[in-house]
Amino acid sequence: MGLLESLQLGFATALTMENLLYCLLGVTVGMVVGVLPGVGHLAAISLLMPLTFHVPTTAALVMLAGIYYGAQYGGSIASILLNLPGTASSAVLCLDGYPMTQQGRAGPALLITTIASFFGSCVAILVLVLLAPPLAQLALAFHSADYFAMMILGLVAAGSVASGKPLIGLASVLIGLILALIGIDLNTGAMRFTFGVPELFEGLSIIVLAMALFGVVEVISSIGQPSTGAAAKTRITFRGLLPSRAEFRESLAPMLRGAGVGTGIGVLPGTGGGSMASFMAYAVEKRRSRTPERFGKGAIPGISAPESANNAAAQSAFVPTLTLGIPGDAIMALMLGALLIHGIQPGPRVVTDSPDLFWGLIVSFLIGNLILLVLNIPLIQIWVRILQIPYRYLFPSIILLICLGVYSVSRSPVDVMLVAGLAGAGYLLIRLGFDPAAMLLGFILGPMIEENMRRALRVSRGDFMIFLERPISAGFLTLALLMLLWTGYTALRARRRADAETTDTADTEDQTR
Amino acid sequence: MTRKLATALGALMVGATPALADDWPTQTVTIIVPYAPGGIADIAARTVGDAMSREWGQEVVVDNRTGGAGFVAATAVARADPDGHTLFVADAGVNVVNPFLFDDVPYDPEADFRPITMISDTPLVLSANVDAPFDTTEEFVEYAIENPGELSFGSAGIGSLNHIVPEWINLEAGIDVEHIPYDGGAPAATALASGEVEVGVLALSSVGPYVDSGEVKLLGLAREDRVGSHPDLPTLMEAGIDVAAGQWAGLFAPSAVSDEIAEQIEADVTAFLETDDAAETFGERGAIVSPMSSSDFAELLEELRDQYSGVIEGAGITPD
Repeated sequence: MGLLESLQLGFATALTMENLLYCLLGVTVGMVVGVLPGVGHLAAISLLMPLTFHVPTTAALVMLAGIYYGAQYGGSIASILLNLPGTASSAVLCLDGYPMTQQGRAGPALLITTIASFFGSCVAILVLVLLAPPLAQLALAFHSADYFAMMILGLVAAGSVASGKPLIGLASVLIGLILALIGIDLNTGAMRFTFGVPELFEGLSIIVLAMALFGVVEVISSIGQPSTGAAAKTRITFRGLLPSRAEFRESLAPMLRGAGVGTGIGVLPGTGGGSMASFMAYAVEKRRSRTPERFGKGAIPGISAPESANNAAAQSAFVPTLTLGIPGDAIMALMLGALLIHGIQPGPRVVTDSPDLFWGLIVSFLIGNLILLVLNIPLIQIWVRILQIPYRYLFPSIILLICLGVYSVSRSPVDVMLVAGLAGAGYLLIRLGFDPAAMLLGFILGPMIEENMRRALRVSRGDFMIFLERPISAGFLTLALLMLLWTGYTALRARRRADAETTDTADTEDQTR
Repeated sequence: MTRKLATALGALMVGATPALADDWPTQTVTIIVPYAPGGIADIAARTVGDAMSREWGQEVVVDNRTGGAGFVAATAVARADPDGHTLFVADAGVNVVNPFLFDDVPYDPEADFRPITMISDTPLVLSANVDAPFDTTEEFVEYAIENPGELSFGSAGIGSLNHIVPEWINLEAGIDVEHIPYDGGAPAATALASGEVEVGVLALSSVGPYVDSGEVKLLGLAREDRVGSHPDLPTLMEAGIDVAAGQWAGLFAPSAVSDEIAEQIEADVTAFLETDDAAETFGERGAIVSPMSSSDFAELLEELRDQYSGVIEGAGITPD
């Protein structure tokens, strides 16, 4: 089938009254629940899924997908305004989005992320349209060794996410890695740090960790601060929402790079969906930037790149889900379930076997994103008003929402307690200077590195040469090595230059940190 | 739907159901499933639940209690009121394998649950990457004997049937194919298609798409009889390997449930499973409806416990 014919079929399917309605319903529900901190959209999808049992397959999938990517739009709002990640993948948005709010620039931050979301989605949709069938084949070229090498490159590239001192950044990553060990070890079946609690067998949920480290810790730290800080500075006129021309220009290239990173990571199966993509995009921007010290203090590229990546990954993650049956995260797993309930077996031939489903879904992404853009821009003014709610009402509501959101994931009270415990420990660690983003990064990458490395070594019967013999793996490892050398070189050069200048400034800088 | 109802009713009247529990069900019936929506156990529960809510005139809801290798769901059922309003759809992993695999299992599948009927059975098939130098089960065994330690099989994880059955083949055929665990059945099928592992015993439904796209070939069916959808595919037994195991889903109740209620559920559910509609619904998802009398099912479970514990011990499958 030619591209034009496919698109024609896609539009014909997506533009039926029924599918349009389900699309509108899906994205609206998604956006609203995405705004709520916690995992509103996971809960929404699991609640609505049984209902889709009685709805035609394409309509059901269009709606569930709408909730999924709609929530990506909504998820960034709470991150920026309240330092509360609405979805795990928008945790990175807290790093620079929340400082922008504190500087009274919440409006521009929200508008930029809305545009970045739309932009990232569109790039990914375009790539899907042009390349979907060959992309499915790409995953079959990747073996465990290649995934391992890719994650190592990711870890090296993301080292820069940690701000402040490198050693404590490293320690933060290690804490994340240790937390990720909890659960049944996939390679041997051994229980690690589960203490006989069945709820821990499948490990900590990333949502629990993100809610604790960002959401609850923020609430604890904000108590006692005057409650009008951010709100007083926020202008709520429409003009106040517009980013300056410089800010807008500064976002374009990061959005494009973010979309590239997001699409690339999204099409690979098992890479954790949006959270990994947004972290990587952030790392790329920080590394490329001539002024990396601005990151973490409200840098525009620090929100536009990850938001674009996160949405691009949300769209392209449908490739491994539909063509390989391997979901990127818990929500994709539910979508996969919806597919199976309707008797559609995901596989490399799903594009040719059910073209109306596949192309209809992709065109519905485009329509859904347009709806989201139109819905979002006028709503920004309303979201910003959240900041005017006095803390004495806002904080208890946030804690309640977090509890509800976390409980709704697996209806486990243990998860709610874990949030409380982790938040307490997290608060202490963060006050001591540990970095929550680096912990989360270690938590995301650690299990993938471990699992794939051990599996690759099992396949090679213990021969480490497997990582160098496979061209894809060797390529990634070479890149990682080059990047390490380059970092070492620039760090050395910077130190020499600093030494050559006055040593006094370096000292004062250290003390202020 | 009327036809389905009529068939079910007909079967009910003809079938030997001595004493109907008149006052059951009096409230919503909950079927607890230890897996996320979309898996075959969930689909089995939903399909049966859907038909039974019409049959019983009470809502039947499916409650997915995932996590803890099925411990969470199983303990919930074991502790539920045994009044027939809480039922359990479980598979071999939760109700046969777990006690042999884990040290501290907070429930006893034999003592805590009363088997009602098997619902569906998904055939497992020995399959190989298309580039593997063998095309039949016999050639595979021969190759594995000549090249010891060279081949690997992929599974959906430690203790999954995709792990136990190949170890069983290893024991039966005297070969040593190495186990490589993946995080679920789909990643295992992808690894087989990409050639990272040479063979695997996976659900026919999950390798099917790769057989169609020409990346995977089927060698032999791990089943006592051939299946209608693949009449040319020989069984492992035909190749002289005495291994048969299906990925079934079965219906259970808490063991203290009254005989009356258990018998009514058995009669209603098996009557539904014998309809063409049920056969079609499961067939579309790569499974075979397998209604079975409660006593046959109990006997089968007994046999499976024997077989699997032998394999798990013989192959040294332990979580630690």
